[in-house]
Amino acid sequence: MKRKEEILAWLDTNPRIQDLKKFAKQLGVRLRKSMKKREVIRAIKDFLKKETIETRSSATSPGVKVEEKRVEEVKELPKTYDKDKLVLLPVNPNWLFIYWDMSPETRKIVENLEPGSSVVLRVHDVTYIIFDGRNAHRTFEAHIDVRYTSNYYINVPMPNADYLAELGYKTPYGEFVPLMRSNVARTPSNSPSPSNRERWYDLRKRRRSVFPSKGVVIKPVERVRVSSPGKGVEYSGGGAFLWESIRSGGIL
Amino acid sequence: MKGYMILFLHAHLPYIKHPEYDEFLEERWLFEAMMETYIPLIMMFRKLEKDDVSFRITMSITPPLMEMLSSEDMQKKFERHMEKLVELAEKEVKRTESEHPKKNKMARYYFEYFKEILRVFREDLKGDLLRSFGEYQEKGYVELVTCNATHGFLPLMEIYPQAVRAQIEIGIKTYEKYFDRRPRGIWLAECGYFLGLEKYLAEAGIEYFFVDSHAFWYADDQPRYGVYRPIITPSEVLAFARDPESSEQVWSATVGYPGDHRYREFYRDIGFDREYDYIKPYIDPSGVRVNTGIKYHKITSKDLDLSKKELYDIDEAKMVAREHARDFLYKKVKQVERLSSLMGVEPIIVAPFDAELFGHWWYEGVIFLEEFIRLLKGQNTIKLVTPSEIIDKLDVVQMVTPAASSWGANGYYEVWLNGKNDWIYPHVHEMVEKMTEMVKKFENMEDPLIDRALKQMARELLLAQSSDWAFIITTGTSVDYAVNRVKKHIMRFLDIYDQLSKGRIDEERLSYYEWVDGIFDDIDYRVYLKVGEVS
Repeated sequence: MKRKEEILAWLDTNPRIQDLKKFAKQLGVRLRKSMKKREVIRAIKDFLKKETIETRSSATSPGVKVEEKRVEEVKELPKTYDKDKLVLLPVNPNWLFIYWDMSPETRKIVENLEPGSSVVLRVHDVTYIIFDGRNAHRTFEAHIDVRYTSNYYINVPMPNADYLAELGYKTPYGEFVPLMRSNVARTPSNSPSPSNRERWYDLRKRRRSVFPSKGVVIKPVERVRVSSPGKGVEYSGGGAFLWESIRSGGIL
Repeated sequence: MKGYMILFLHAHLPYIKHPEYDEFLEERWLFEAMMETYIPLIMMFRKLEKDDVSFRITMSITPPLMEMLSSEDMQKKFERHMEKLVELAEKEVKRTESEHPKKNKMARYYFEYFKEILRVFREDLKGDLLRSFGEYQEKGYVELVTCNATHGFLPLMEIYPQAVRAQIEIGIKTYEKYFDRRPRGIWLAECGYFLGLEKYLAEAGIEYFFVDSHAFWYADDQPRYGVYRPIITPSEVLAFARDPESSEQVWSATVGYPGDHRYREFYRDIGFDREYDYIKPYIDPSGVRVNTGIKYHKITSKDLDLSKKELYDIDEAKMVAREHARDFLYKKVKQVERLSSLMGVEPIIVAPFDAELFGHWWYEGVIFLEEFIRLLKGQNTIKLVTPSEIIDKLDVVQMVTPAASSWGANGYYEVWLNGKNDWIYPHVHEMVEKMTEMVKKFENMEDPLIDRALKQMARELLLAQSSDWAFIITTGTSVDYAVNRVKKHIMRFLDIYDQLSKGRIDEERLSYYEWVDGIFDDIDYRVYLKVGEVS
């Protein structure tokens, strides 16, 4: 492995102790604070000896190159961006996903609610309306725990409907105080439209026309979900990226 | 002709290019696809052209795939990969002499075949597959469409118009860079469509896109002809929907052609079968066993344990592929006859597949395609066409807005958004906001280093958005790699953001990121300023 040789060559150039320690740390070599330069070099060399070609998962992959480690310490992803954010995403016709983040100010409010108050999530059906806080077709509410989670899946009754969520708290007197409002998310449709019009477009004349439908000529044979014990799940309706995944219940 | 068919091949791999390693396990995905699908497809085009067989195939080659195929680094790595494979096949020829004659026959076949692939790659294609696909487009046999930049799943970025625009515009620009013209159509990653997406496509000058069948079935008006005619959206972009019958015939787990017992078994590979010392130079340098592409067994029976599979015979399998092509044509002809008698206008059957199904997963798939195309000559009920040929002849078309959908399991978004991978979205959404913030902040600044930093931020963001990572995490194989990739792109992005915020850019570190995540050389991040919805 040529990388190893490069490192050994560098160790011979009498590098500074700070650089050695920094490098050792990036390699993942354990050091004691009291170690002398000679000892650090020894520790690195010992580490390199052990670090031959061992079986690794593909994630770290062969011959872990040092440049990469040098510039990137593997840190954990941030747990918060300290911003107020409530985001609603459709998953399928009956499920929404919601996640949130909070500014320090909001977090403070939530963490210091007066006794008897609780954090709640409200989901409003706002299909075809401009929501003013009170005019939703339907409103659903769930008590949530914001200390340990920052997302939920929400089961909603209507496909092809617009939903909007609010995260807030309820006072001991039952009053709802919204803290954050989400975007509007539309659940996908899962049934043929009841519409009985047909719109047509003339590409040459660039003209649109509308008339009542006489019914469809080709009726779809829709898919239905079936399951039977022992059968895997099909992850792709066709296509998608199937490398190495077919065996786990895929298409063949 | 009574009806038409659009045969669509979606060629895609995520951007996996590790210049920091001489060999990298997941780079093999590209080499396998090149060896078993992309080059064999080009070889098929050449044979058909030589034999004067006209054909029409529509293909999407995704921007990450374009970037990898055009990379000299990857081309060299592919050559090395193939050289080693030829060497291994040669050893296998000797070795199998004392084993079963059927194995020996296959070893000889592989030896000759790999040499031929390498020769075609080097001499005929000069390493440049894209140019060859482009040439077949110029000749009218192939229509190439683009795909959104990094195959990001667009429905989950709907709340950020600038992110949707960036995916679309960069997809178009990358296409222009390699094919020297504007794409007329686009393949949306995973057929992911949300209400309103067509407006962005119209804004970008895209004429048509593809959706799964139920996008038409559940549209705002019911399409009179179901999925068998294109529709136009109110923003005047056309859409084609997938024919469920064709998909099932080829894709289905239970009744699809690729499951025939005489076809080659994908999972029985000498990379796993041969003793370690012998195979070691040909698997991953870490010692992890991988597929080599040399396989001696047939499917035999689907439920059979891998160790009990019987030996494969390429000639028998080729014969089966031709039989299946004949059967497929028969079914298509019958389908067209049935549909056209009901419709009174010509049905248009749209049959999209992952390109890598043919040759890679279904080893005999390219033979099947070739035979199908050749057989078309002998009848006049159905004809292969490209979407553009259809559009250019179209007079009136029904106007509907398709329903939100994807072609993933169960038809919506849950493959890319579920309990395993939902942690990705808060980060990639925040990245879009930070990206926009920084582009705005430095909008009127002309500092080459800041320009480089912004470009790299855009690259990291786009790479983190690839639908592939979320997909792999859902399906459960190569999960570590996918998780690691998402995390790395997020961390690299945040690192640059941090540096920009503090006004101190570490040039060395930036260069490193540019080197390892070097997609889209001349990326234009100004697209992130376009935050408004389409009017």
